Amino acid sequence: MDHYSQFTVEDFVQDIYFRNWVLDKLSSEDKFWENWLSAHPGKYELIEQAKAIIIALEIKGIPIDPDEISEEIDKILADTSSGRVIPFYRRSGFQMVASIALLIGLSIVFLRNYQPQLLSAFTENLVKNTKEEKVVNDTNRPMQMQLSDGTSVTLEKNSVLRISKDFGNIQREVFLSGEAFFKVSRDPERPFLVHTGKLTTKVLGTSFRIKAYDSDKNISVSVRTGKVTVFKGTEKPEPTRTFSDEIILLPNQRGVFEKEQEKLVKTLVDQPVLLNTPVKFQHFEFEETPVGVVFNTLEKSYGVKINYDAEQLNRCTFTASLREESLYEKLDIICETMQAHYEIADGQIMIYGKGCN
Amino acid sequence: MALLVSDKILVSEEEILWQAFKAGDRNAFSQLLKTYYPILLSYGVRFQQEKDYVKDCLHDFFVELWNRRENLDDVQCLKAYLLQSFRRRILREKSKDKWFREIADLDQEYCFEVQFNIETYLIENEVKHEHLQKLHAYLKKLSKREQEVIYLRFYEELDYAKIADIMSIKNHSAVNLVHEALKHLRNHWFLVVFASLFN
Repeated sequence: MDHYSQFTVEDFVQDIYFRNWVLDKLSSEDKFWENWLSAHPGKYELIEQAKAIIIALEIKGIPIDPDEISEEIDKILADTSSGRVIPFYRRSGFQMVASIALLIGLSIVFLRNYQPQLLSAFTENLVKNTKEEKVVNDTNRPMQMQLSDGTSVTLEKNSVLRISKDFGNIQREVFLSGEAFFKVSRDPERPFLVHTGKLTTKVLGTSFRIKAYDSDKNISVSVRTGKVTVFKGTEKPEPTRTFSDEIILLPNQRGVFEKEQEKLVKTLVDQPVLLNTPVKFQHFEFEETPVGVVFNTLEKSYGVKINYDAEQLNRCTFTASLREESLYEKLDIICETMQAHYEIADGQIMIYGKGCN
Repeated sequence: MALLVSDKILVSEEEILWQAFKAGDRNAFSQLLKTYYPILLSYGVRFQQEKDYVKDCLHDFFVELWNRRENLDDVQCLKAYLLQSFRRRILREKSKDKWFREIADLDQEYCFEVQFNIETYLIENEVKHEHLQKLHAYLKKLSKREQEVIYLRFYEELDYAKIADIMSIKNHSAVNLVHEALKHLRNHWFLVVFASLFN
């Protein structure tokens, strides 16, 4: 604990433990600072100065009436509620505990199943397939449903999903026209296949979005989590298939199939999201950091490969704290500081720059 | 993107709350309001003394937050995130009110005012001590930015990285602002006299 003997007045002023002592927020049993002071009598004046500054900089809170606040809160809740929303009542202690437990439970469910709409009535209809099912979303909003294998599908408006009659027997096959987000239950034994015209998407367990409107010039498959195989044709991948006929997509990557030329290319999604990476990779605070390290952090955070000439850029450093910018905005900022630019090719990022002096 | 407990990532209560909120959980929303509304209100009135005005801003801010919830990013520190977004909003609103004036830099125009307890104390107790009057005068002279940094650092107890984010300044600028203010204060030896008043 004796790093305190090296502290300056400013350090003490900013030390939470010390502040709490000065401001009487410690329990009266905690005699640490009294003891510390008697062990370090030479620090007396310094401590007095720090105390004085803390007291002088105490900011006066504004008077806030709790009733006034809850009135405002109720107003906000009322103005954001729609028909099917549970009204908000002030809770007693017990109810609060229950609601926190519920909250945690719900969040875990919600974390896994992003649900723009409550489960639709279709759920029950799809429990077991003996004949081909067809779901048409001609409503104005996304439709949420669950297939018999536990896979959840968000079918966007003007979209049709057909579920093959032997769905789940050997493999899980569906046919999509339009747009949908799939969250496929993992089942390595029975691959999940989405047929969209001349393009087939095959996964084992993952989440991804497919956009395949008949009127569009191309079909796009965007991956959120896991690994997705996309190939031309309607059947299983054949051994004779050439490399360009099949691509493997990772999170934040997108495969685009141009219907006219029957060309399949790999690129990135419009808004790459942060992956489920350890928290240390999600801090984008850099100070004189070599750009290699900066790129590495971004690679880990977004799971997107960044290519650059390490030798050429080895003297470039970067200082800034990035937070809410999108991946592309972050790249813009970084590139700007070293007069470089980036391009997206084959689902990866290429950095081009002259280097720094 | 999703924070799964099974992946052994530390999920703070804040993050759970935020995720639930984004998923449309009304309980999470009301919990979020209860926790952060007072903090934002207290911060907001530093920019704009008129409390009803700030309350209107907050109303629109939270309604919009709810409506856009599905598109919001994951955040590490909810408090800093909300302070930052609300700060932007209230500065924007204020600049709209002054549309007739040309404002090159929003930040130069902004107003941030805190009241220190000590000032009230000195006034209420009609303290005539010359040194303490000097201290009073010094605190009055703190720049808007210094006042805001001190507010966020000591009143909201945020770290510099978050303060820098909120105020859209560099990390080291935030550090410097606090250090400069503290250094000036320390150079006034009379603080010791003053401290003795409170012991």
